[in-house]
Parts: sequence; structure tokens; C-alpha cells
Amino acid sequence: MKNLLVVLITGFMLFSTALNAQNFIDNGRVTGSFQFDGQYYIQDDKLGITDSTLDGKLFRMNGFGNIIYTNGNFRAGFRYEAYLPPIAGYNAKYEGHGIPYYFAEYQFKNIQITVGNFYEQFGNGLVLRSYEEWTLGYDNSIRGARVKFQPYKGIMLKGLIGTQRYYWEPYANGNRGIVRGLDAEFYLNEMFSGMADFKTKIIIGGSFVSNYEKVKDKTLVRDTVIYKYNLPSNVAAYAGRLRLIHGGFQFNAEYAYKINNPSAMNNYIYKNGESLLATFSYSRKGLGVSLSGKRIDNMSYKSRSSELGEALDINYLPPLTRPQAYSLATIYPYATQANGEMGIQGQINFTIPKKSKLGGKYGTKIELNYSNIFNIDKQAVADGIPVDSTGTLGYKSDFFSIGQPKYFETFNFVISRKFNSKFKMLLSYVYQVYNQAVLEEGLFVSTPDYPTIYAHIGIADLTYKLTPTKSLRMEIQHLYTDQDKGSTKIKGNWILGLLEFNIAPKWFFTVFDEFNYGNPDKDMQLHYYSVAMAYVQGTSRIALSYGRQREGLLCVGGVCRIVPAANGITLTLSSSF
Amino acid sequence: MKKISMIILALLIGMSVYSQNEEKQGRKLPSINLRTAGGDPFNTADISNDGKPIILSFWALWCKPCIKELSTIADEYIDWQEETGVKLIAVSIDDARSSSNVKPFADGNDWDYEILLDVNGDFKRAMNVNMIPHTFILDGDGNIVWQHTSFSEGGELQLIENVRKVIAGQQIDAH
Amino acid sequence: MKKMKKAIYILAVIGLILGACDKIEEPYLKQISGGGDNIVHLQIEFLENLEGKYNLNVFIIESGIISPQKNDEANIGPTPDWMDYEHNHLLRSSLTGTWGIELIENPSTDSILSIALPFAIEEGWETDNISIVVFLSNDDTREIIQVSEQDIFNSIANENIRKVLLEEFTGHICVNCPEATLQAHFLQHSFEGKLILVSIHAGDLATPGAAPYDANFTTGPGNEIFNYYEPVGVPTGMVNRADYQGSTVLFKDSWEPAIQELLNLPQQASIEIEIEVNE
Repeated sequence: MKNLLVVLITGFMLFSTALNAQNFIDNGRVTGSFQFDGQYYIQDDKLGITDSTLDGKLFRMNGFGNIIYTNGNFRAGFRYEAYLPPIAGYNAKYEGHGIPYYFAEYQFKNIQITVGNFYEQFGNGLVLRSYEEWTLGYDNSIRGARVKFQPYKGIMLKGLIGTQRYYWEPYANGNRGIVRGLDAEFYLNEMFSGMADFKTKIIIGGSFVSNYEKVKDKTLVRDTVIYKYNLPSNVAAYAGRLRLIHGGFQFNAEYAYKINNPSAMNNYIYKNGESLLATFSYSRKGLGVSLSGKRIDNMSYKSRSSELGEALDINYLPPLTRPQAYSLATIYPYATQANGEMGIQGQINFTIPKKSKLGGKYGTKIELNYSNIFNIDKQAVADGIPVDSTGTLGYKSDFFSIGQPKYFETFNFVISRKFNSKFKMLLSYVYQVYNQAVLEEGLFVSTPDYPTIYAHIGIADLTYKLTPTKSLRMEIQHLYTDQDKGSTKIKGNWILGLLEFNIAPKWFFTVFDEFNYGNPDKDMQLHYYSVAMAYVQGTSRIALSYGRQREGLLCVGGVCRIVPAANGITLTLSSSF
Repeated sequence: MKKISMIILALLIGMSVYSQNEEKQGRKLPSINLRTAGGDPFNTADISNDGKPIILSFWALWCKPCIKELSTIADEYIDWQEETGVKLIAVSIDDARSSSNVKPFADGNDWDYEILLDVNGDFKRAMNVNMIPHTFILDGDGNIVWQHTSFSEGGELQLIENVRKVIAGQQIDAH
Repeated sequence: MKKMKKAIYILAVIGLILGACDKIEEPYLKQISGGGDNIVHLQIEFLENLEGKYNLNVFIIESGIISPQKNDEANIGPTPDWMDYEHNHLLRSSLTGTWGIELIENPSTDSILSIALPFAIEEGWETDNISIVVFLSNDDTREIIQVSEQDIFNSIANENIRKVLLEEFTGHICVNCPEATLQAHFLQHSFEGKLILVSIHAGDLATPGAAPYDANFTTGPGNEIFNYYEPVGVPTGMVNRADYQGSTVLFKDSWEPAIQELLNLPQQASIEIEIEVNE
């Protein structure tokens, strides 16, 4: 039935587009995009991929088509998705196809109304953020209704209600919570004419979110006595934020508070949650500095209290670490620890001016980045009750004390320079301290199998222009570590070489090899080689690659999952119009 | 199951071909509330450049080719502006994790672009941006006349060539 | 400024409406059973690989309670007041809350679980007439996959076969109930040990009234089950809490075909019960 519906809707849209083409061009417009990712898998004994692990699912695909119709103040659209079956590393619950996202939106003067699915973020997202990341397989869109209202200049009010997407499972009979939210933002300099000329701009905001979940009985057997948890049906969270801007200075802070929310994520403890995120930055031409600090205390907030996976998050807790773009620097990624973490991050970007001795003809760009993240301080609520005991308050925590152990530390240095019209180079050094026990296993004590890993990564990225539109690009990366001889498959030192030949703006050819030469298990000293090519025509891109894919961690909204090793052919088609 | 999804994908490809003809009719930017890197609220319907063309480029701090594209253009940007009056608006899709580093990064790299922060991808979705870098050219009336994804060295030549064509009132052939 | 005040006012009102937020005070855990000197020993074995979470439910039922019952069917007993009516299989309490305790997720054929649950015999119960009904239910659909019963002196010969549970909603002020109960007893006899009965007193017609109908046979779990399934009235019943021809709550004429249909399915688990009485 559902299949029929999909075909009907698509058919109808096409039909009407063709028939009333004139009308559509005059009054409205259809735009859209689609993408198809297909993988054909090959047996690879070294990677442990055999007939039985492939289970006959040799070909897998993820695909979507997105259509938006716009006519004046009216917008409507839908997204069709297909996972037949989902490619390796995506949640198996995605298997199937259908229309998980559709909406209609109307703007009437200063009021905008959306019905159907929508994505929204309040402030920094500490109490509410719904978003999608196709490449990560993440989507927590809210289906319901949203109103945005600008009653007066400088004021933005938002209200919403709905339920979140959970793969293909329809909302029924309280199988997840109903999320309700309100947000208000006031730009004082616009609101009060007397403040219009102030050099300092002030923006304040506040959010309130409540999740209603039909409570199911939850019992606990302890010393042969059975207890029932007293669970809340309504869990609320609120946040206040402030943004100050003065010339090149910006200060941005948000504090969020969540009422008792016993859940599978926090082992059913009753402590309130709180979170503070503050960023200070200064920049002028040629120099940028930013400094941020954060504290997260029991802030996992999901619309189903029993959910443990990477789904149904109501809020978003950004990790305070530099997003890494080079492959070997992503082997040890950091993900926010929603149950508690404290961290700082600092970053400096500057340019050594053109034509100076150090800067060269084009100037030299430098980036320094440092972050350090610890557990929060956790003290027992009473003698004899261990920290985090289920069915108790959980723990007490001093707001300003740093706890143990260390979760993650990283230092990044990047220097890039254009030497002449033909040659460019980027060099980078990355240092990472990675608490494998906590970040991969949730264990708070390091064991020989899960030690703390100290990794040093060197990266060189060179670009050489052969002709104005033909260029060669080379990457060399090396990762050195002494510690990682644990129980995961990735072990020891790595070296990566990549060569890319590009003919702008249409052709891309790449060969690369990641070699795990430092693996203590000689049999696992593998080459993860791959060859790829891509052709781009306007907004359409076709990419084809063949090779091995290393097992890796993919982190989404504070949850990481392992993407398994694979060997095979990948085809990606993408277009938008 | 598979067949139906293939049919739908085929239909979508068909639609994309059909709609390519429409591009010349002029398609305006949607109205989305964002924030400038300087912190001011901003509506994308207000993007303008006094009747001169605009380059709109979607990027992020974690996207190598995006930064390469914007750095490459930065070296030529003054010349481009003098010649064509074009303005480049760089739309960062970094989320709360790194959005506060966007302005220090851009300033620290000596970029002269106007920068918008699309922290929850609203503008990205409304513009059907799947992959970045994704670059649009808008004519002096704010119509989207050309778009392209991906970047490699030399891609900037095609970009400025198309800006010149827009100013000369010529058709841009490739979509 | 007027507009702004209005906006803040509207915001405050909406805030109050949405302001739903449950602050939980200690104790966070409420004891629902345990602390007795008697122990139910259970051995549970899954005979099939199943998906989903399964809960363990342990009910205490009592039979042989003599107490007045309304009746208007003269063929089966005195009308309108049947003073020496014998109430059987009456739900007395649950050792596992209303919907059971989490037992296992995605059980497989090698999942064998041994559990010991303590219980007390409360005042007013006749020890000799107590028996224990144990069943496994799906946490999500609440459907029952296997059930077993043992009386307190282990005198029921328990065959390890698929059995189904008929939960009968009834009340002592319900005039049609004795006839339905008789039907249930008849079915239990005709299905020869494959049907287990639990009689749940709940709803308006089970509420204690003026003497002689002042007995209270309702229980917390019984009321919650009744409210969850919202039967149109009593007498009605559920067979394994499973759907039969579009409904879960069935009138007495549908009980037999529903039981027959469910008994035709393969046995998915086995439950062995032993009771240790120390009081």
C-alpha cells in the first residue's frame, strides 16, 4: 500500500508539473535534490568478511529524493528515502523505504506556520535541536506543528509540538514522547530605538521544552525484593542565553537546566541535569581568537526514556573539539559524554602578512587549537550508596570542580602557504590523548585492553598546478602511537598516501592507501587501498570507487557507532535542481 | 521494493532534467532567518549587491575542498571585485560545535567575504544542497542563474568566467 | 511596548499550559513485593528464538471464597442474590507489578533462567486455596506467550505444553457474571489442563456496595489492567491479551474459538514452578 502511495505522489507531482507547466512557472516552482549511494560487497578473509557475514546482501543502497514546491508565501515538500538494505554501518532499523519527511509551510505577514515535519534549534541546541545528517544516518525531525511569530521588530517567538522520527516506526500508543517547546529571542538594539546606536549589541533568549511520555512500569529486583520506579511522565528542560557583540568581540553563553529524567542513558538516576556553554571570541583581519568552556552534567534528553541508541535525542550537546578533516586524525574521535564532562577549547588563527619575510608572496596561514576534556566531579549522595546507583539521586557534583579521569585532549597545529602560482602546501601536527576505556566501553578505569592512547599525527597536503585547470594533489599522513595494542581491530601505527589528479571543474581521480604497518598482529598489517573517480556536471556528481574501507568510529550527537570494515565497489549519484 | 525505488530515482532524474530548462526563468532565494558571523540576525531574502552579481558558497570548517576553494578565491578576490563588482557570501553550515570558530577562522585567514551561519542547515535544505562545496551565482536581480558542486584547482576560473557572462547578459550553458 | 507586553503575556500563558513537569520526590523506588518468607522458584526456558523484550508476571490467585454474588440466571443458581456463591481463581496480588518485570531481551533457545521470588501470604487469604500463576508477556504488545499455574502444595500435575490464559473481568454485583464464569469453568474442563483462569474483579460492578455486597475483591494491578484495556463492561475476558478478530477484550462466546486458535500455535517457552512455604 505504502509503495503505491509513494508512486502515486511522485507520479502526481510529475503529472501536474507537466500538465500545468505554465501555471507552475508563473506561480510556483519545484526544486529538489536526490542522492543514491550503492555498495557492492566483496569477500575479504583478512577483514573477516565472508559469505556468512555478508548473508547474501551483496548489494546495498541508501537513497533519497527531496522535492520542494514553492509558490509565493507557500512552501511544501517531501523526502522519499530508501534503504534496500542499508549500506554497512547504518542502523539496520532503516531497512525499508517510504516518506519519513513531508511538510507544508505558510508565511502570513509576521507569522509562519509549518505542519508536518520540521527541523528546529533553540539557541545552541542544549535543550532542543532536531536535524538530519544524511552521511551519518541521523534524523530526529519532529512531526507536528510549529509557529514562528515576530510580534515586534527584534523579537522572535517560536512554539512547536510533535513527535520525533524513529527510523520507520510510526508514532502510536505512546511508543515515544510528545515534545513541546517554546523559544523567545530578543534583540535589544532593534527593540528599543534608544539602543539602536549602542556600540554593544545585546541579544537575549530563553527556551522551555517539555517531553510527555506515557509511563510504562519499570521494575528493579534488588536483594530478592521487587521495586517499581516512580517515573515522571513530563520531563521539562529550560535554558537562557546571552550574546554580546562589541566590535570584533563576541561573547555567547547559554545555561540549560533539566528536571529529573531517569532514563536508560543515565542508569535511571533522579538528579537534575545542567549544562553551561560559553564562548568568547575576538577577531580582526588577519587574526582570530576563540576560547570556549563547557560543563555538562546529566544532560542526555531523549523522547523515550528507555532508548539507548543514537535516536530520539531532543537536545544536542556539541563536542568542544576541532572537527577533523584528514583521515588518520579521525581514528580517535571524541564524542560528548552526556552524563558528565567539563572541557575547554582555545583556537587561534592568524595570517603572517603577504610580502613579509615569513609570509611570502601570498601570506602564510597558521592555526593553533587546543582542547582538554575531563569527567565532572561526582560524589556519593550518602555513605554506602555508590555513585550513579539506579533509583537514587545518583551523585552530588560541585559545579566548579574537575573530576577524573581525563577523557580527551588534543593539540592541533596547521600551517598553510601558497609558494607560487603553482604550488601550495599544508602541514599539520595533531596530538591526541584518547581515553579508550571511557569513550569506547563506558568503563571508568583503564584496563590493559583499553589503555589511554597517546597519538601523534603528521599530515602533509601538497597541491601542484600543472595547467590552469589540471592539478595534482598529494597527501601523506602518519600516525604514531605506543599504546593502542588493545582489543579493537585498529592497532598501532598507520601511514597514508594519497594522490589525486583533477581536471577542473569536472574530473577527479584518486588513489590512496592506508597501511596499518604497526599492527602487533602481523596478519592484520593490512593495506586499505582504494581507487576512485568522480565526474561533476553542474550540481550532478557521479563517483565510483573500489577498495577497502577501514573499520572506524562514526560519532553522532554524542553517540559513536562502529562502521564495519568493508571491501567493495561504491557508487554515489547526487544531483540537485 | 528495489524496483519502485529505482523508478522513483529515475523520475527524479527526469525532473532534474526538466527543471534545468526553468533556471533561466529566474529563481529567487528563499526567505530563511540566519545569523551573520558578526552576530546579527539576517534574512536570506535580503541578500543583495546593488544590482551586481553575487556568489553564494556553502562551506564548513571540516570541509577541505571548501576551504581550498575559498582560500583560492581569496587570493583573487580583490581583482574580481574591481573587475566585476561581484560579492561572495560564504554560508557556513557548521553547527554549534564549531560555529563560534567560523568568524575567527575567516578573519584569521584574511578573508574578505560576508559570512552567514546556517547552524541548523535550514538554508542548506531550502537550497537543496546535498554536498559541499556547493556554489551558486546570482544575477544582479537576485535570480539563481548557475550552480555547481565540488571544487578543484582551476574551478575558480569557470566561476569568474560565468560571473562575467552574467554581467554581459549572456547565457550560461552548463547548469 | 504595548505589543511587547501582549507578547510576553501570551508567552506566559502558553508557558503555563506547557509547563507540565513532574518533580519526583523521594522515595524514587517503591517496594511492590518481597519480604515474605515463602519463595516461588521458577525455571524458564525459551524454545524458540524471539525478538523483543519479555516480561515475567507472577500472580497470586485464591479459590474457594464463599461470598454473595448477584445473579439473574435461574438455571444455574439462586436469583437475584446467590449468598453462598463460590468465587474461584480470584486475582489477589501480583509479585511483579501490573505489567511484569523485565526478564530478557531477544531470548534464544539457549536462554534458561532461574528465578526466586519471595512472597507473603496476607491476612484473610486461605493458604490452602492459594495458587501461583506465572506468565511471560511481550513488553511492547503485552501479549502472553506462555503461562503456567501451581498451587501452594504443588499438587497440580503440570504438563510441559503450550497453555493459554483467560483473564475474566467480573464483579460481584454483575448479574450476568456467574453465567460467564460457568462458561470459563466449562472451557477449562474441556481444554484439559491447557487453559488457566484468572478472574479479575474491577470496574463499577466490582466496587464494594452495601451489605451483603461489601466485600472488596479489587486489586491495584487488576484495576490498572482493566483501565488499560477499557472493556465495554463485564463479563468480558482476554485470551492471552491477544487480538482475536480485531479485539483483545472478548465476550464469552468468542473465548472458545480464540483459545482454540491460540492453542494451535507452537509452544515458545516452558515455565516450571516450585513453591517453598515457610510460614
